[in-house]
Amino acid sequence: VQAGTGVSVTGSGTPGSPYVVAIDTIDCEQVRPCMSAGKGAAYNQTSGIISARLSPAPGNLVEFAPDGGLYVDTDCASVRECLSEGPGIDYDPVTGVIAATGGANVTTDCGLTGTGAVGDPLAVAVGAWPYACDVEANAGRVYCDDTGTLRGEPRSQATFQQQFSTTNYADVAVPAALQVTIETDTMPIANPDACRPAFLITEIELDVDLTLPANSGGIYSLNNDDMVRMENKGTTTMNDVHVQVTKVFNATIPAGGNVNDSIDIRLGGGFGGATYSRIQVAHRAFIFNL
Amino acid sequence: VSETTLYFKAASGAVKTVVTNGGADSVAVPEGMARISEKEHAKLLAGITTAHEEYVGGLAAEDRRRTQGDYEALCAVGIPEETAARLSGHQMES
Repeated sequence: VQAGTGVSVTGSGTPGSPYVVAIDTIDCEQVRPCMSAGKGAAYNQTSGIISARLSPAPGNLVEFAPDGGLYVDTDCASVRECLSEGPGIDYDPVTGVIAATGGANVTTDCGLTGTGAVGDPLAVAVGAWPYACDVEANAGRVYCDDTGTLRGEPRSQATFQQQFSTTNYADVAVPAALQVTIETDTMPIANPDACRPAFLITEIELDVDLTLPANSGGIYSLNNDDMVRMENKGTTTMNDVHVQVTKVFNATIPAGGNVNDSIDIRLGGGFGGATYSRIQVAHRAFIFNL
Repeated sequence: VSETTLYFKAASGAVKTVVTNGGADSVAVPEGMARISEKEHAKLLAGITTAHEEYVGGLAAEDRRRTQGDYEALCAVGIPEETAARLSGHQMES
């Protein structure tokens, strides 16, 4: 029996000395050449020691701690070099202190004040309330629209509407009864403000032409108020006698609403052949949204 | 401000104009009246005006007839002419 490489044979093949085949003891020096270091590792073929490999490149913070483990030491000076300051920030690369700046980093235009610093925050520029009344109960407000634009209360406006009517009659007798409605003068008036009620002032002018033979007379009225009573006590006819009279009213129109402003033109008390031939009405509306 | 003029007539024969600064839609049709054209209004108004002139002309003629009668009656009883004219309303020819 012959032993090959790495194997040994002992004994003579007799019962008293049988063959013993055994593997030879492997020597470390035989094994170490079989191994090599990969990435991140260092290998000493002589000693067989395997360890982490520390890069010698500048700035590498990995090192071996006293206990033999890997240890990364924080180097504040190096870290601080990685930072810089932006708007509104004050940064000290030596000490590493970061703080809000004291101003001059925010530029404001009309309506805004402040720099945005802690001691000088941005704020809306406002005036002092100069009135004796309570600001919360009396001041208007500021609103933001869908585009982000500041808006105030609805704009005040004053509008004016008028109509003149002239009706010619074929010399109709003034009614003997009192306050007979001859016309109803109506003017539709719209509130142009969809937000607020309108304060409305209306003015009515009335002018009735009366023809009054001697010893005749008549009355004309606005609603139930007799405005003119005329009687001819002379000896001849008074042709087309007329006096212009006026009344003023006030009302309120709801927001976005309408009213039909009407007034009755009434005649009565006619006698002695009194007639009317023309009625003129001026109807004016002053509409305020405040 | 632009103005709009609308024209109306009533069954009674009366005619009306309405002048507005609010546009035609702002005018309510007067009760008992109907819209007419400017031309029709002018024609009807001319008729009313003529009739009115004839009416007051007739009243004036009646005034002259009556005041002259009164004047003559006053003069007949010895009232001076100037006084009689003033009392009667008679318009003496100058």
